[in-house]
Amino acid sequence: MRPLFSQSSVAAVRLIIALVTAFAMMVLDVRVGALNDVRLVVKTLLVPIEAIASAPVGMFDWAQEVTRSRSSLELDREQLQLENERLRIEQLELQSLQAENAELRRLLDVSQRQPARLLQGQVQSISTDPFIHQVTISRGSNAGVEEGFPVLSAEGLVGQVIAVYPHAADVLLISDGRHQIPIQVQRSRIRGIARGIGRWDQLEMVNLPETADIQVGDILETSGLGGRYPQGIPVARVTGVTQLSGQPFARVIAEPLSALNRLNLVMISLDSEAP
Amino acid sequence: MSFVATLILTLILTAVPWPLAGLGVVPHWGFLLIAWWGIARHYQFSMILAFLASIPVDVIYGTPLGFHALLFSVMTHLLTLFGTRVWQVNWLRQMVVIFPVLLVMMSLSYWARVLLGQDAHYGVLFLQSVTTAVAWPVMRSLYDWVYDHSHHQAEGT
Repeated sequence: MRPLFSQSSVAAVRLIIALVTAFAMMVLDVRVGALNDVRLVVKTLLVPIEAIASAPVGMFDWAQEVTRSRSSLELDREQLQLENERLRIEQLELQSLQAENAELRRLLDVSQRQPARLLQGQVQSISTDPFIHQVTISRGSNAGVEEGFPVLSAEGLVGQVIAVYPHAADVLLISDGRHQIPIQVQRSRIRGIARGIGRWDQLEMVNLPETADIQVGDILETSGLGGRYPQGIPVARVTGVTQLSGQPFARVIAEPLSALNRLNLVMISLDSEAP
Repeated sequence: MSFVATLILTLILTAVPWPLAGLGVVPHWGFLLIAWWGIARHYQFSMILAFLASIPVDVIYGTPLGFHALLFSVMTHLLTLFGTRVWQVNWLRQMVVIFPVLLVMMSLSYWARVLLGQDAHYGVLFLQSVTTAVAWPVMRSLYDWVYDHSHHQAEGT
């Protein structure tokens, strides 16, 4: 007797069911965020696998550390002492400026800015997909981290938390193509949007009028608009301004201040709202 | 048991922190896993297993859940059409057959990424399909070894 359905049609039906399910999963994950729990469970199960995968790199770093010569360590110590001295002087200047700022704010009757609460974390893993600029850090909901919190390095903004697990969190870096930041030019206070373009060393400022006061070397900082990032976090340095003929907007390229491809220690700002 | 062992090997390779500048030339280990099971052990493999394998791959890569399920399902389907005949030929011919399948997968990946709003470049995906095909002979032997080892261990217990 001939079978009612041929083997190839059964395979095609299976494929269609799989494709529809895969599409539904993507929509649920990206648009609704309904699969966060699944991601959480799988991420937790993957912890030992990620530890094994990064072990060779850790061992290499450790071997490099133990084989460093005494002279190189002494050189490092001297440099750190010099940097420490410089930072102490800068701190004194900062304290003086803070006091002056507080006095001016009091005279102008403006509310005081609260100091940012920062939490230190370490980069545990980096997405190995060539088009996704995302890292996993060692702090999660148990440490008070929440979705949307800004992540910084000593140089400037790194990105924002997009998924939180009990002991870790995923951070979308500012260089990712899906990331946009409301920024302002530190010198001229021109506002705009900086977006990632999928390159570790470049951001692009969009929709900036060609007459805008911006030049190579300008520092871009967060404007605080949108409430996602506090105002004044350094983001990038302008490396190129091109006036396109016949276009109303200039093309502005900037280099992130943080070395996004060499991240190790980061700070999570526990204040996501603009002051 | 054997599937889990080969999946763990694939996930470890996927999670290895390669230098960021060279990410475009790192083979896509997930496709190699599906290729091996679809060609070498097609009678033990199914779309459900491909679907399950895709979830941890998505979590490691940071892609939306379902992204690799889409790709792995199509690849499994393509391999069921002619994969059984490929196992009989030598590794070089297998590479020649796998490469166009990988190109189809990368095209699908490119299309899905554009839909998801990523700045994808087809040149990088093309390069990745070349390196993935080149890695096939080594991974084929490695999966054979892991399969035999885990299979015998399971039988022994």
